[in-house]
Amino acid sequence: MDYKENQGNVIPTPHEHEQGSQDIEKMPVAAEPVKNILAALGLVIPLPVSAEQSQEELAEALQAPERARRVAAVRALRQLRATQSLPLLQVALHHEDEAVRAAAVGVIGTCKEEAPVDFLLERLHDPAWYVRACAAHELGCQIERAPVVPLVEAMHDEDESVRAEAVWALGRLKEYAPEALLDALHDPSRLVREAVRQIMAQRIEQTINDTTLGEHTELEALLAAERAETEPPQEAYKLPGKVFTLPDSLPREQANKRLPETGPLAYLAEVAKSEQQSQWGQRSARKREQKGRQRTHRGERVKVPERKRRGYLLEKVLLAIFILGFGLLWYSLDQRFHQSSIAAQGSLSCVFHPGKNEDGNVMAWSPGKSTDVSGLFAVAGAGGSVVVYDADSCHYITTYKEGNARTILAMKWIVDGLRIAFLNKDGNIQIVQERENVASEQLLTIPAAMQANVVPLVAWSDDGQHLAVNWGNNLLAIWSIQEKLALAQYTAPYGQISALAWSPDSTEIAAATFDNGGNDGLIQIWNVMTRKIVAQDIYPSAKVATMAWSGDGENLLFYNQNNVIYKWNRMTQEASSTNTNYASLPQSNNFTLTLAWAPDNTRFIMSTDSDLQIWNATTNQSVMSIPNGFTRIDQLSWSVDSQHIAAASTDGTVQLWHVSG
Amino acid sequence: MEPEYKDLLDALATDLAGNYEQLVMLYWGPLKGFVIRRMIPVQDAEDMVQEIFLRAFLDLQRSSGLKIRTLKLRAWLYTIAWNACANRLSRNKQPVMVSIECEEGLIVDLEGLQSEQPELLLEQKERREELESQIATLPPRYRDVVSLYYFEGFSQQEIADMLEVRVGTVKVNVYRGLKMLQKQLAVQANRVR
Repeated sequence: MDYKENQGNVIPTPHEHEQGSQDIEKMPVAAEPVKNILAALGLVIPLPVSAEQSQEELAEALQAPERARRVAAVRALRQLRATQSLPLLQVALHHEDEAVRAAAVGVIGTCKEEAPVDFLLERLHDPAWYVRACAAHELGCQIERAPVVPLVEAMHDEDESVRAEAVWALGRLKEYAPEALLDALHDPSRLVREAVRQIMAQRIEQTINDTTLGEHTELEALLAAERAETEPPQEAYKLPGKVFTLPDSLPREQANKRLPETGPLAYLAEVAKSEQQSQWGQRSARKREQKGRQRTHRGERVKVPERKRRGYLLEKVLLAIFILGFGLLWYSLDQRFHQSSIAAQGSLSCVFHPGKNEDGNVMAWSPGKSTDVSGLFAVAGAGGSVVVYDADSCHYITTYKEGNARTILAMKWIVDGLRIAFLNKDGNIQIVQERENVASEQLLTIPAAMQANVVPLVAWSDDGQHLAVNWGNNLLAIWSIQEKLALAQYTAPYGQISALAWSPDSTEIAAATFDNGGNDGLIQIWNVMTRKIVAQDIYPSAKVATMAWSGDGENLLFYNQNNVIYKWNRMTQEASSTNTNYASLPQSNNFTLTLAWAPDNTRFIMSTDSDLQIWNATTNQSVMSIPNGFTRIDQLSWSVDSQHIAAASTDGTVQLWHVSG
Repeated sequence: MEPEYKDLLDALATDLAGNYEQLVMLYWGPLKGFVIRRMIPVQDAEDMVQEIFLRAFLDLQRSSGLKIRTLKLRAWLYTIAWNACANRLSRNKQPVMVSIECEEGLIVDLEGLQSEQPELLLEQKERREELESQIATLPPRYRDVVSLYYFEGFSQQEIADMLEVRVGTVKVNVYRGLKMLQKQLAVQANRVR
């Protein structure tokens, strides 16, 4: 039956012999649902765009009641220049209709070189599976620019189509991640496994087309060796879109000797080989089955010699061991190479997308290796949630959702769990302790001060036992978590406290004060136990935005908005190096530099408007520079072992960098 | 490959976006019936069919032209539908059959009755409904294969591919399911007498 003759109102019956399907297949096609499906897929004609009113018209059409019109408006954005379309694209990307969001993702994907990859990465966390899948697909089209890690994360998505798209995308990237693709071969969904096979086959084909003559011969030799071993039929050498033939000039014995030892091509060839073997295995099994049937029909029973059968099995087992061993060897060599390159230059380990906490990024590392929570990293996400990741494997672990939270203020990871201080919707500070598989423990509620609308400045002591709280004035209360009361209160002589930093031994706190009335800036170091000021320093009037203690508590780095970094020393009681610009400090006034001192005391890191700079604390030499990318970093945090740095940017993403000295 | 779909597959392989509407037009009705019979509420059925077509489109988008041209179109599409239904109902629970009596199929049948032999078709329909309600009481592993084989018209190989089991398993389960069904019907017939 020709389907084309039946495109009217009645659906044709593709299998007229099938009794049961006849009724339903006569159902009339409803135009509206079909239209909806096509609109959801973005298969609509874009709205025409006139030169003058284009943006207003399209913005209006984005809110149209008909889905098809909304999607057509998004598709029309392709006709505008990137600068014109970007504001509307951002609206479309956050539209309530998932079809509109998906269409916007599709439009971004067609931006070629200018495609804002960050937008696509953000959509990998869209609540709708289809939008996530489209985002993964479009990332696969950005073969030189899309990062690997978010796609590897997407391979663990709950939806199989998203995982399949992530596999497809990952297989297309220039930066290849074969181990992740191999992992996906164990995915419970056949769709995902099939996607791995397809993309591997394409990759092999591409490699064959791209490689030099020598490598080509290497692969042919490998295939020839395979041929010599198993004598499969000629068509078995067909890879998708490519047929291999053994060059006449290459004797079989010679081909057998030219097996490659290592390298990506050989690895790919191994995968191809195992794929082909599985096909040959199936084909020969089918043949055996057919033969067996014929013999049964004739009444003849031919017994396969036991010795021959064992030999065949042994051959398969040996081959499997060989392939497995080879794969493991290649993987371990690759890992070693990877590790060494990381150590030498620093490398991006993971990118997380927890969403945006309302009042800036908040992060916490788990304690050191001796604890059972080592290697974990928590970051505040959207809507009062805290997302926990495994920093070693980059895998998502869990999310703690603080139901009544307006914003997360600070977190501290102790051996007993993760302590979270958050501002609840009543304006009070609530402190809870979270631990995996254990119910959330309410530790303390600190009532709001008089200025109820202020977001308080809080800081955890290093041991997680005390929380310093400032409500936007010159008072600083030190709350004891264990005793559930305010132990002490520090009063700055004037102005407003703008930054806090606990000393590493949790006995002292540095408070920076800023005064609009013309007084100089003041930093006082206050002993919480004795309630006495142990040191103070005055600096030119400008707000101190960030402070960081060295691991031994001997030095305090601080940065004020005059674009100067100061280094205060306990011994000299002076803020020295005031004339030393550690970094190419930004010129823009609205930029706030962040600082963090490595726990091992050897280095500190600062974020400028263009990069992250790591400095040797002893020699005052810059030892590493990491480009910021598109977004600004507003929080930095060292891991306990000083090997990783977490950089949280204002767009809600967090990057983990391996920066071993 | 199903020969009657060769043109459509060629068209999809050449221009997926331009020709996908034909696939939607062709299978929208059958798939809606299929999902309704898998206990997806009628009000959700259209969303479900949309989801199936979205997943199918993504799958085709990833596939090479060669793969699309050699696709077993109907089995492939129903496999996606089967998985989508199973996921929707529950990750652990298999979809179960329901009688089409209270669903849209009844309307379609009644429309058909007007033009053909009404008594005969009504009797056939009643028998089918009775049979479906009996099948719904079978254990899931028999119920699914019997329904797919006799009511959806899939071959045993297609069912094996769809459920990711061996053909032998399908054959055995169809046989045992039928035996069980015969027993149930015999018991019912005795009660009526």
